Amino acid sequence: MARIGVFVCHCGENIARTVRVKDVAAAARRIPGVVVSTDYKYLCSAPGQKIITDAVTEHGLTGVVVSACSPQLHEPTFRRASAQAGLNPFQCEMANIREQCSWVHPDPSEATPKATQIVASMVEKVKQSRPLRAFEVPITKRALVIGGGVAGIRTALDIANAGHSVVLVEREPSIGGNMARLSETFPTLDCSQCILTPLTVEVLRHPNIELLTYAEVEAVSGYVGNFRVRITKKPRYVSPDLCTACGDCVAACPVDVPSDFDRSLAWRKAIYIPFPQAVPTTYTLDAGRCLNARHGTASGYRVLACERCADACLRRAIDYDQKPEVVERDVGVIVAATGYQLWDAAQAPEYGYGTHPDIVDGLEFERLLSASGPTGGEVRRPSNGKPAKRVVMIQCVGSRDPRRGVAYCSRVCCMYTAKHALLYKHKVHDGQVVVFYMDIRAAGKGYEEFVNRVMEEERVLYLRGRVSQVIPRDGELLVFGADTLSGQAVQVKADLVVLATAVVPAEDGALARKLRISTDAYGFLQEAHPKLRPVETLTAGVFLAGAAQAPKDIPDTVAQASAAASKALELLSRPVLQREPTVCQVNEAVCNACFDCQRVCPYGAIERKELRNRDGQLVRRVAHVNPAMCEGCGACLVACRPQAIDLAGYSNEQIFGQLEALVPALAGAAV
Amino acid sequence: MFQQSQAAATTPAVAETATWQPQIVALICNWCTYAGADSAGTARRSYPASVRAVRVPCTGRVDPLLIVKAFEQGADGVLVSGCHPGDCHYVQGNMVARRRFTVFRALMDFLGLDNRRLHFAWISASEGAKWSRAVDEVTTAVRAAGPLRDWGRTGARRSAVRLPAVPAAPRSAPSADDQRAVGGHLQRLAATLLTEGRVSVVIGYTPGSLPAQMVPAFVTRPEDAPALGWSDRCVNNLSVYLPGAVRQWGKVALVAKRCDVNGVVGLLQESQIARDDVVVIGVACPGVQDDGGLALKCHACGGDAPPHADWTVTPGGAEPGAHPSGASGAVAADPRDALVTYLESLPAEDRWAYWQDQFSSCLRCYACRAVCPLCYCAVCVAEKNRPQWIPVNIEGKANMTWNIARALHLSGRCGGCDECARDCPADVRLDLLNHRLSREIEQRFGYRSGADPAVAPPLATFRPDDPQEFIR
Amino acid sequence: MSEGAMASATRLTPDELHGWLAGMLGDKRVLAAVDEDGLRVFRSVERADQIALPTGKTRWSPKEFLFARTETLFAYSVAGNEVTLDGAPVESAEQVLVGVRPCDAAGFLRLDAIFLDGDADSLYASHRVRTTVVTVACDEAGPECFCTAVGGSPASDKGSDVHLTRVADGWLVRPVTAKGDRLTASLAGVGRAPSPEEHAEAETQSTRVAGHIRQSAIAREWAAILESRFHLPLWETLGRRCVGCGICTYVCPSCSCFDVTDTGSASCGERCRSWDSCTFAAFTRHASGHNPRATQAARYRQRVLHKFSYFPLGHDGESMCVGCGRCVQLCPVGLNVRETVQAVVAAAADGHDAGG
Repeated sequence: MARIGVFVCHCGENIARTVRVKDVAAAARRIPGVVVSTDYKYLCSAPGQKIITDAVTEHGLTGVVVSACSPQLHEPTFRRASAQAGLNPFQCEMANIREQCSWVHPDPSEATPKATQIVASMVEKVKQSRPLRAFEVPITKRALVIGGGVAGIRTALDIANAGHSVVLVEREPSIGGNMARLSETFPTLDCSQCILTPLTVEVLRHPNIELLTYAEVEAVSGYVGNFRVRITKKPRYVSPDLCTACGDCVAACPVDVPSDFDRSLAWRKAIYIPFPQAVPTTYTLDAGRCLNARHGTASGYRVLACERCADACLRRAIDYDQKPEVVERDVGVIVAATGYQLWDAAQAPEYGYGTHPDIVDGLEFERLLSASGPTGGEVRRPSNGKPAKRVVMIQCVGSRDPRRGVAYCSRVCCMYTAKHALLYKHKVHDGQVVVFYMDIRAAGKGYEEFVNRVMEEERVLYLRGRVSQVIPRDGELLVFGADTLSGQAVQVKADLVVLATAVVPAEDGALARKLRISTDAYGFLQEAHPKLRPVETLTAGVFLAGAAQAPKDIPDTVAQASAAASKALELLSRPVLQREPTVCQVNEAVCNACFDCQRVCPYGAIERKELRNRDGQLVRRVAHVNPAMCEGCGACLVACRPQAIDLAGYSNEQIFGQLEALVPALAGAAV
Repeated sequence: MFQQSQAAATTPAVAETATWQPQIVALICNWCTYAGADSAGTARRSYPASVRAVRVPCTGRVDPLLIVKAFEQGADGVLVSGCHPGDCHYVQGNMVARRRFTVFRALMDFLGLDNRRLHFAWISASEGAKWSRAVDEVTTAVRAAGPLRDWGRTGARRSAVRLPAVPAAPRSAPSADDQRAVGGHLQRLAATLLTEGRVSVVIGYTPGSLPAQMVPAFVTRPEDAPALGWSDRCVNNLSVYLPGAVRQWGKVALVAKRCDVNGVVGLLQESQIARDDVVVIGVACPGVQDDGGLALKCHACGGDAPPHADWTVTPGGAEPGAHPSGASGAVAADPRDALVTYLESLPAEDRWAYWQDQFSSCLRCYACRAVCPLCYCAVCVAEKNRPQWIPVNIEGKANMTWNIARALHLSGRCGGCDECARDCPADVRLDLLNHRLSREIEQRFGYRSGADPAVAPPLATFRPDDPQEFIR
Repeated sequence: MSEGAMASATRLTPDELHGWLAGMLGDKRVLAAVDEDGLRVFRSVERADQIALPTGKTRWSPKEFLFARTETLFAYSVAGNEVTLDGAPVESAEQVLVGVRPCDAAGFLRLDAIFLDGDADSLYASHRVRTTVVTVACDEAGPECFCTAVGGSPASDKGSDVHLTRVADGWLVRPVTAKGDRLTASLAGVGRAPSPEEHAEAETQSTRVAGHIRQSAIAREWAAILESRFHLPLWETLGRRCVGCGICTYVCPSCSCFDVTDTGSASCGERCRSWDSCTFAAFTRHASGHNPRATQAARYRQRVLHKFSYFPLGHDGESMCVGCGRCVQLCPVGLNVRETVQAVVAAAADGHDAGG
């Protein structure tokens, strides 16, 4: 039999001014099951809480209803107090008679009966409450970081430096990501490679980091603290233990391939390292391009047409029989740092990208500027190798263009365009740069100053306006645009056009699905809350870092990477994980295995469980909620037609109790 | 009933006073609307004291049957509110809920519930002003609608609404020769399947004890195959037997008309059977007789060979595989459309009276459930008593709740075989309820039951851009 | 009370009959078969012109006026420590069921045996005592009818208080019980004695309609035979197609099972009994999930055996089934209890299983 205590708070005058609290307490006393009902000036004060804890002990209460402010404010306070008195915290509920009653109903004759009904309904809820206990989940003290760009590198290093193991998975043969492609970085003009390489080397040598390059995450199962990740290591056909990176194989290779790293502005061999400082320094045989490709299968070579690299390798490091290798790692947390790519500017045909080699995007221009790039840092036209004397840079290509591209601002283009202009002017002193822009967004430490310096000191012509067309004619590019400030149509001749194309996610959503996290309309990974939980996702134990979440520059990326690492460490540093007990549970006797619950669960918390008899034979399948993955939203239980699922803390019986007390046909007797 | 009489004794008296305060139950999500209501309080925005909030974690947790429960308990209006799409704390709960509410609202509107009583809103944590405005508007609307006094009733039918006559059948009955020929092919095919051990049982039709009646038959031995037959009185949807038969016999051959195949597809979609469990013997059925005429469901069915069949039987013979021509299409308008449209053309209060009548006769024999291939639950929600979702009482309110629950649970799943309506001893037009909701789902979500066993049922999924014009 | 006691019959013209029925409307609740949008059921009528005495049966039996679909046993309300109990609301208004078919009247006798023998069910008894039954002899029989196979007849007055027979230009009205005498007291001086031809016509009609029911008798001795065949595997094949709805039991004049449920909140509520059906899986399902009647065939067997074996064995061999045939007519899958009984008995006699 329920023994409920009702405690009505005056909240000073806040409640008592319009709710006749004594009347409410008296009415509550008449509700069957209520054994004590009293009022007090400030229940949240120490003496107020003592009234509750004393009553729990004295009356042996099985439930407490605190009629006061919003549960969003003081539910933890009163649940803690109840727990101190030995009552299960989930058998304490709050009746919100302040925010949703006294503060909005000035007339006491309205506010008082409403408060009484709110109390009555919470009494009925508490009568149906069951003691719930937070349960503990063990945690694997290892992190998985997906993506070996600067975000993933920083996250991995932070976690590893804190003493936990990290598995860093990179899809490309080497780490470094897009940052490795950059020449210098704005606004300080540090050499990108120079500041990145120490980090990549640290990753390689770190005893706590297992680096898996040329590898992809195939599947993720499990839940926070207990993920199991299946990773496929693609075959390099070069044994990393034997390869000394001497490069003899490259010299022997007869096949030329456009270099991905150099954005196809240069050639490499079928056996290659992406760039000289690449980590790891193991060569990779590009199986799709090698002469043996047409004889090969996905799982390796069968007949060899060419063995020149193997012949050239004195260490016998070439192994044509390598197969994809699947490894499994148990991890406790996952950080997704999958980065960005550039929008394909060919989708805006007026700029002519893809139709002429001298129309390049931002990353291609980085390679033209880079000392390690195909031109050794000299800005030459890809079409004929001649110096580019006149450069037009066009901003917002695809960005802020909801019709063809994306609606958002890509955030980094204004700054890198200014940097491009500056670097170019430093290399080509007599060169001329025209920048077409919509407006300059230079919010960041030292950014505005940097752009001003480029405009004023470097004499770069900034024209506010859009470009209507880029037309190749007579070996040069004609750029038609408008200067909206002067209202003039503008026509500029150029040797090179650089498009500041939009930043879009590198991943197509498949990884998000594997991680059971959501993406926004553009495919960027969705954070749990844009303001307050920017590096968490709604899937517990999965965090975000870098441009995979939204376009951002290197300082923001690194900051977010460290933030994600600290969130990951928050979990990894605990002995066990405490999970809220307000989760769903399946009554297996009633489940009819339609699995609609599984279809609506956003967390993948529902599994198909096999019920077997004593002989081990399958009797039937039922749905099973993994409480460690369930977040307690309750979408599954509505999908369940036979009502086999219920949600602890918001159970059907609790809500029925509330409804029965809310409507006067039945509540009348209680009030 | 005791509760009713008590309610009846109090509400009208209260209602007559000018200050009548409607009782409105608000089911609101913890993360957005509850916080929004709190922020209305913090800003001291006053609003009518008519709303009683029930805090739930998410609108995705709001079972439409909770809304029914609120009305059943005596609420005059219900408001459901949660996070805006895209803001759900649980990623997508509100968007799954939106589809459920769409269907529920369509059902309640078709039943003629005054639409001033049922409201949906997206109100975020920061929208305290929107909350107080919503309560204001909802209260005004419910006040205008007045106290809800007639939620379910028992007794004689009172409504003057009579459904219009159904147009003549678009085609004459199939010839006796054709029917005999189909029967013969079924007998031979059944014998072959059993002899070759490809199935352990063939579920088909055999003559019953009443004149011309055909009844379900289970044939397990080849020598019994001649018991099978075929005529335009083969009304039953035999897929209702499939899950049980598969458990009992393993491999099952099922004689199925085109409408029956929808049931098979539904069972596959919902993992009740595996495709290998069943050999579907599709009969190109030119229509069945019900109540002395061509069944309504058959008017618009061209008598095409069923899809998803493993064998196709026509008067010409039995062929392996499915052979829907897809071309025959509709041969006449679906009379159920006209009847639904007619009811929709009536004033809501007339529709309400009509359905109150219909449900007042319901005996709660659960024949509608028993003959439905998709009512396969071992324990029906009507049998759950902790809490008692559907009151056991065979009277107005409970009949309302049952009939609403049945229609909702079949929404997006019903294959339109109309067996529930054919068998209802009280002639409740369950076919029209089902048809109305199927139409809603097709129009809104572009989904038709029975098309593809691989797709998710429409209420177990959502699209971010699902229509939501009914949500304030 | 015998069928031969025709001497006390009065012959009324249709107008006289209507006048008699209309006279009841003032102080009694009159329940008559009415057609509601194609559904023929007994309803409380307010006007004499609503009493049409149509041929044929209502969709379901009028048992609900003696044994309601749902009935309150008691109600409670709680305030603080005080509990208030209200007994079942007592109805005392007299009610007259007009136009009851002989099979349905026979059904009342079965219900009487169930609810009144031994410790009487007070609710049922209170309804029974205030109810007068006016039967009408059948002038046609449907293909599902088989009252003659279970000891009934289309002209029977068993269970009737006043028995009516349609003749060429009017009605023969004959009180059967003291209640019937009271109901027909107002007919003093109305109508006339029936002519011998009219007697003969009634006889002929009875014979003719009975002749249409060509269903072989279900012998009283079969009750014991059926019980002995409980384990016959044939039950499985016979009941296999039962889908487990409750149509047969809810339309049945003699099915009388009910469920008792409590509804309400902590503050107030009531205990009710509502019709239940042995054909429902939940009827015998234990809280553990175990169900002693595990299959639908077992549940179908239960219904058949209760009607044709268990009840008769305790009631001098009288079948609980009254042969109205509604369950045969309305069964979604065409189950036929009469044929089932015959098949089981035939199998017993032959000593082998008949095929599916």
